[in-house]
Amino acid sequence: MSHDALDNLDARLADLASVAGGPPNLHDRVLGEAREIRWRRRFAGALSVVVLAGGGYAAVDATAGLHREVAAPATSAGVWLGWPARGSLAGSPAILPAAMAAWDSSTGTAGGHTDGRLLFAQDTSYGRVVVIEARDAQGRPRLAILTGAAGQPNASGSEPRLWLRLDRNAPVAAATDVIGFVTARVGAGQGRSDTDGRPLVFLLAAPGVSQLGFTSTAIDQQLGSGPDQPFRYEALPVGADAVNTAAVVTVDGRRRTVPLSDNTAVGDPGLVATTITVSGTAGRLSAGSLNGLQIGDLVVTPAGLAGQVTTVTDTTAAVRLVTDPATRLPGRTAISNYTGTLTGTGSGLHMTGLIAPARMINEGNRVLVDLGDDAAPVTAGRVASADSSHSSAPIETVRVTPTVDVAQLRSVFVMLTHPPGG
Amino acid sequence: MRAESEAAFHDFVVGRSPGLLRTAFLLCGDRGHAEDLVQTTLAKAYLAWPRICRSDTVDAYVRRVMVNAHISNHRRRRLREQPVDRLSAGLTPDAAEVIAERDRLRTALVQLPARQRAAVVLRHYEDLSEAVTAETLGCSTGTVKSLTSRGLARLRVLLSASPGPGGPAPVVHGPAVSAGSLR
Repeated sequence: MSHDALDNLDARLADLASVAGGPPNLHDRVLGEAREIRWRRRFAGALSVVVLAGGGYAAVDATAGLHREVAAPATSAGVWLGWPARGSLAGSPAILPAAMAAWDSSTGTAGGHTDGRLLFAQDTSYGRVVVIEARDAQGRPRLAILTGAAGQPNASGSEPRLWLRLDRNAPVAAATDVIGFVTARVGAGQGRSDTDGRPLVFLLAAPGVSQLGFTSTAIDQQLGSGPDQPFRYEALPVGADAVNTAAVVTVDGRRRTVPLSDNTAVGDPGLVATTITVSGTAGRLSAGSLNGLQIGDLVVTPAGLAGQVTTVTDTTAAVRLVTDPATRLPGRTAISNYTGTLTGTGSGLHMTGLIAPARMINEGNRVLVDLGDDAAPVTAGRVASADSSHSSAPIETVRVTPTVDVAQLRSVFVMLTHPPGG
Repeated sequence: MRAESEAAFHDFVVGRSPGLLRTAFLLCGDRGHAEDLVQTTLAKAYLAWPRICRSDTVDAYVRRVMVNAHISNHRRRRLREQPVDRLSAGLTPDAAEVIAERDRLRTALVQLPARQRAAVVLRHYEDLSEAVTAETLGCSTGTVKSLTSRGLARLRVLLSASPGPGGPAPVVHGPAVSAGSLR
């Protein structure tokens, strides 16, 4: 019997649409936005007259002030979650302004957020997590989750930089038991933000939730926590995402599963699962540019780095496996952070260009590939031996055993530089 | 707007929001954008309400506004916000195949150009005729046929190219989870 990829498309679309669930009460928000649109139309008319009269520059400047002044009362009160500020940094007065500034400066957002309120701020073992609510430039209540490297303010008193990871409509208080997201990175790949490329699930419970946990098909088990833990975070295996991960909450003795809807947060690389055929130190993927793959994307498994995409067609891609002698990737040792260049040897890896003090790199130390802020670091292998001319000389080269057995590869994930879609 | 008309609009929002949100979800690919799209659509409908409320074509008008707003957003948006939100309850750990299939379809759908995606959703989810779809998209029925055909062809390629629920599954080495709950 032949199988068409579009079999039962109508029913499958209906099933997918059902994931959207029920809408919040939009009536008040709709009226607020309608008032805003009406005002913009009227003001645009007035503005065009001013521009024609030669006062364009002053008129445009005036827009921002008038815009905010009109927008502020556009949404009815009572839209905020009203949860107390929680987390060990909740009492720090510098956190909210830093988070608001990061939100405003993030590309692709409306900017000009006002009326901010802090819901959560804490340095976790993977980095800083901050959850805030505020009105956007149109006066609509929004929720943002920001993350960054954990740490103390610098000498001038500035908090560590934050990155916007989520920006959405503020949820409706009466219908929200938990806020959560799944992300491939927390602190933009720096310092304590290292999750080895594994996605992180973060959950913040509403007051009154007695138990908070999550379930994920990627780990085929459920993990829960007691009543004294209003938030939790876990590093999941590669392949876990918001579609196959759900929060589990207990409210008034009733246990409910609350699925998370989207794969990534703002700026996360996407992840494509595919099969690979290996020949020597090369591989061919059964996914290509139609799946969003680009040259340079990292190919990974849950064990670590497998290779890098070198050429792409619509439906396939060639991969240079990590052991290939042509491999040249920026590497660094985990924790000790000594950097060098990872080079394939045909069967393993060398890390060259190191200048590390004697005995600072030891057998078994993990070696990461770190392509920068846009991608999480990925484990490439472990140090097999460190070479130096004599026992007290600096280490310049280490042999690295890849953590992925490339000869046994059957299925892999490709970390997309740019998420598909849009 | 008069109280009677306001009440009618309120009823319209309550009654139509769930359906609009589902269609918007297929168009946008995520819940947060879908919510924004429905909100904007209804706000525009509110402004036109005195004019359209007595018409038999309110639904068609709102659908047209939503599709046009989606296509405009799609053109404007360079960097997409990718919100995460709660959805309806009912997920169980053994629903892996269903979830994987939904994710596969959603991923393929959002890779279609906006007008092709809209044509496929209106024809195959909303079950609209070619004529009504053409009216909604503001084009000819011939263009609808072309958009739908090309959209389905690309969708077929995308779905064939991505492994299904029986495809590659991750093999987890070592401890799968490191816990870190704090207060």
